[in-house]
Amino acid sequence: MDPTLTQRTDDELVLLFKSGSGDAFEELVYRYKNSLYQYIMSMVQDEGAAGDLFQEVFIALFKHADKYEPRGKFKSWLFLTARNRVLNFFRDRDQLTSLDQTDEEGNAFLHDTLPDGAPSLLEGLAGRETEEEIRRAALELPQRQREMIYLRQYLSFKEIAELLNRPLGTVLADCHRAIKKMQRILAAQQGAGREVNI
Amino acid sequence: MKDCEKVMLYASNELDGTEKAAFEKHLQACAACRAELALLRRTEEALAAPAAPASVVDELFAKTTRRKSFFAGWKPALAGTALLGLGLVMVLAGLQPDKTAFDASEVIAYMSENLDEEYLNFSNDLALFEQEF
Ligand SMILES: [Zn+2]
Repeated sequence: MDPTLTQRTDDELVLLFKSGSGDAFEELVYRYKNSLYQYIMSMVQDEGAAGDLFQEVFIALFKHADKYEPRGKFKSWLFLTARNRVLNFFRDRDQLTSLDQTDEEGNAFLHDTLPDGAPSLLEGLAGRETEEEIRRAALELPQRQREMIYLRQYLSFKEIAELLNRPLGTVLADCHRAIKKMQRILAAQQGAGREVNI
Repeated sequence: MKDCEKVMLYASNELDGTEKAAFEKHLQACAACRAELALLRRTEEALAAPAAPASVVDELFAKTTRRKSFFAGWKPALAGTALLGLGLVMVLAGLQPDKTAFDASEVIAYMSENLDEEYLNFSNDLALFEQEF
């Protein structure tokens, strides 16, 4: 593979691919395979389905790259395509959960609702939980919040708001609620004692 | 936007210089934001360095860039069958002049459905893509 490909922008690679470079396509795959697979896997939580959806996204690009308009938003396009595939997957399985609905916790920021002293307690906990415990807590989140935690790994909040077609404030509030919920999950785990196997 | 609501934008480095400095001042006074920021950072670390299974990626390449040319394989076969089909249609149309002859593209479309289901997926993908953009 041409070593200079790694220095190309995403849009340049799409253009190169359109003009016949399979290597440019593969470079795009290498560039995003890990984050895209992680995102899809976090949503469907099934390795077989995640692998299929992951391939579908890139196959769509492979077949329809001529339709892609280079506007510097390749990554957003990729995650949007993946998200649509995930939604279709749930729709097909007739198990569409609350991806596009607000959850039961409403819109309020939750700092205010924590009992006095709770923030410092939670702050004390931060850093003691293992990475494995954090990953497990993230997967326990309601889907809408879980999606936020994962998208945050690859996109800015402005990009996420655009991708989900939601106001920035809503996206920030969702992420805030996700972290608050993770704090409670982790606190409950640690309160229950580490000897308890989950 | 209240100070506490800026913690997310601060964490993802989306505040400008003035807002950032103001939030850092708030951070010193607000334990809740410090706790939230700490967990955000820990979560970023815990979810970092994911890996797509190599088998999934290899399979993708086998279906795309490293595939034996899809068109080279089926196009001549399709053209041959389509011509044969057209010949039959013309013979039938000739025998029964009242019936409208089929359009050649319909014959090809019909035959390609039977030749390769990929052709069907192709049009589905295209429809979805057009919704997206
Ligand atoms: Zn605060």
